[in-house]
Amino acid sequence: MTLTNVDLSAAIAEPGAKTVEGRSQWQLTWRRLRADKVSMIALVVIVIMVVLAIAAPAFAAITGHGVDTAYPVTGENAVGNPVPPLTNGFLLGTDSVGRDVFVRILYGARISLFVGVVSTAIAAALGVVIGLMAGYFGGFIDTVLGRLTDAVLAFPYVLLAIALAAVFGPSLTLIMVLVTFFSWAGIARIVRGQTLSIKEKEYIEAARSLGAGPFRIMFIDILPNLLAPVLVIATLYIPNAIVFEATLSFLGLGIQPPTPSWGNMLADASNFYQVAWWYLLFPALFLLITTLAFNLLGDGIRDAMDPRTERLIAARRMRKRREKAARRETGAEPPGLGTIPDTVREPYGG
Amino acid sequence: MAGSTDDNVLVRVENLVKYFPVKAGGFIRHTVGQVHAVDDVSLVVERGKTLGLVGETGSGKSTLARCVAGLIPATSGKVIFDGKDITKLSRGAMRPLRREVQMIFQDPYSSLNPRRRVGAIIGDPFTIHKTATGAERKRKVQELMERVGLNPEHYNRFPAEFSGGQRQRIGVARALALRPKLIICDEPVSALDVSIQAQVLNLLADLQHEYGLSYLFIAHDLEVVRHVSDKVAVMYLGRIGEAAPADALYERPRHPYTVALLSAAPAADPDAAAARQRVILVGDVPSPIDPPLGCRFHPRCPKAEEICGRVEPPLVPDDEAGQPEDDGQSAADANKPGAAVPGGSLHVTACHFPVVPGERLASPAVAGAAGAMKGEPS
Repeated sequence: MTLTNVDLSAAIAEPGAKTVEGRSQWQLTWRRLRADKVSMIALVVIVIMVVLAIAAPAFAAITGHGVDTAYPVTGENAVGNPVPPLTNGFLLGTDSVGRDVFVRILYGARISLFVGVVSTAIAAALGVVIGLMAGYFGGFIDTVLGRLTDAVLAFPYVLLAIALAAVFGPSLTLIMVLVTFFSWAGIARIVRGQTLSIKEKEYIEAARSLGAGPFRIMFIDILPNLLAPVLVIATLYIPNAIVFEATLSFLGLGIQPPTPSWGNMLADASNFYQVAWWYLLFPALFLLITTLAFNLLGDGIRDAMDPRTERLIAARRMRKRREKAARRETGAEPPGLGTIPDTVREPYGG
Repeated sequence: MAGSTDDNVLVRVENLVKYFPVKAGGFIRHTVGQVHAVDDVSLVVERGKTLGLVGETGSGKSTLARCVAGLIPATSGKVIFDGKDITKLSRGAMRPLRREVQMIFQDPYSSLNPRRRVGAIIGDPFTIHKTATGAERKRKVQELMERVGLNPEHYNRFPAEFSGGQRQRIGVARALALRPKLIICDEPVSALDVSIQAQVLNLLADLQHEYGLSYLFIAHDLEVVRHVSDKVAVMYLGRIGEAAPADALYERPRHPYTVALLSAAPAADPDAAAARQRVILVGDVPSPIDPPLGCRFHPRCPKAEEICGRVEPPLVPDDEAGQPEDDGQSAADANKPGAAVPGGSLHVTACHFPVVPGERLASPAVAGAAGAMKGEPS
């Protein structure tokens, strides 16, 4: 008792004591993520992409080119072929009918990012709820939900997409429904596994002994422990969703022309690549860069959430500091890798 | 006063049985056996007192505790809390009772949700039972933190920022929040450093004094149990072998298992350690799926005879019950019907051949026990 009293008064009496605020898991993760250059570049790329997509109408206004407007005079050359980039004010050239490829790519980004982020978010919410229920309740509910998940994962999704597009007619809503439908199962499976391990923890039993109901336990006690893996997998699912949308649009089952999407632009461009390489290259490049950025960011977040990474970064920092100190001392060549590995390479002497 | 023997009894466990089914088969799962975790246990916890429950790993202590806390349903038997049988209650009917029975868990690292702030963890009981919200809740939580010796300023910290002892204090604060009548302590200090153990034990003792709490205190550390308990019960393979007021049990153990258990604990005083006999048991604890017939301890017992393998010895009061430490009060207690139940005032033992004071359980036991082991179906 006395010991703790001393502690307490000391903490209170300490002048200018900082407000005691726990550093949350998220703050720690963010700190680690910031130290990772690749993730930060990926994040910047994504932010630029989002800004470009949001500001697409502004860019259209600046260039003076409407998204669906063909420019037969400035946008096509003498024989009626598309003009290359940086001609007549077309930053990335024109397409088969003389529309501005740059403006259309930006409008395509809106669809891609919207489908990718929103569908994945819905799928994540669905997957979390289903995975939580299956994992927490177990038994019959788990069996039913587990079989359902397996069935969805086993579905040939392009086939289903073609069939549904034929029945309902292609539309943005259909794409989003399809993407969501095929994304939740993977997330649900991971959430279920995590839930199974978390529900055996003593703090769950503690919550039960306090009288907490199953839904309170699932969403207040278990869910916060799931957010990290869900965030990682959702980030990794976004590029999949974007590619899926592009695939469907490429096959003519998704976004219908004249509304631009990266997929239908690529489909159209594939007929013209011999005369207009830029028409094929730039949408493909945007698609590649966007999906790559999301994938790299997802990997980065996963590493940042792994407490072992902290040590790796700390070790790297420590090594750098040592090297710097050694350089200052000798004032000569940095010891670099040459001196240290010698001992490492031959630990038992020569 | 005469008829109401239950007046001083908070919890009465009657013939509690808990079996866990053992399942096998991949496709069609079926029960192939049962783990006899708790097998016909009766005990009482008196108001404001501490009942210590000792026994080695797998003896069913924790299962018993979880049945009493209503966390797992009993296979059969009754748990009567404050006059109400709680074994048959639905989850909804159980809810108000949750306020009366709380638990402190063994592992302070896994018993606190790592993703939630301490204020939220200690405030949970108030939220769940809707007894306080907002600023009032925060004030109450900080009062609790101060009461258990934590800095209330640390309200917004995460469990990872505390030491093991501090974390266990958080667990104590959470258990204390609803002012329960009974706190079940499931090895509350066995994960802590010895120096911290004393602090937490003293805190528990202070709180018991202050709020009139009753404890069901589970541990495998005999000295800890002796320190905190008024009554002690010894469990072996799902049964209670011996129970008595703490001092009587430690000074005059009567069950050979208790004797062996006590002799295995290291003594602080080397002279005493040298003087006392060391009983070494042979073999492992038999499987609780297929417990031995007769006395559960007989395959390892140094005093086992033929009858021990056939007839299960009942828990009977010591012949010289209540005589040595008698002061009139306990004599009166002894005559009450509940006294002969573990946790009551009598020294009860389930053994055909109880150890008499001064008796030495010598090494011939080794041969006998080994022989008995061979006869055991594996």
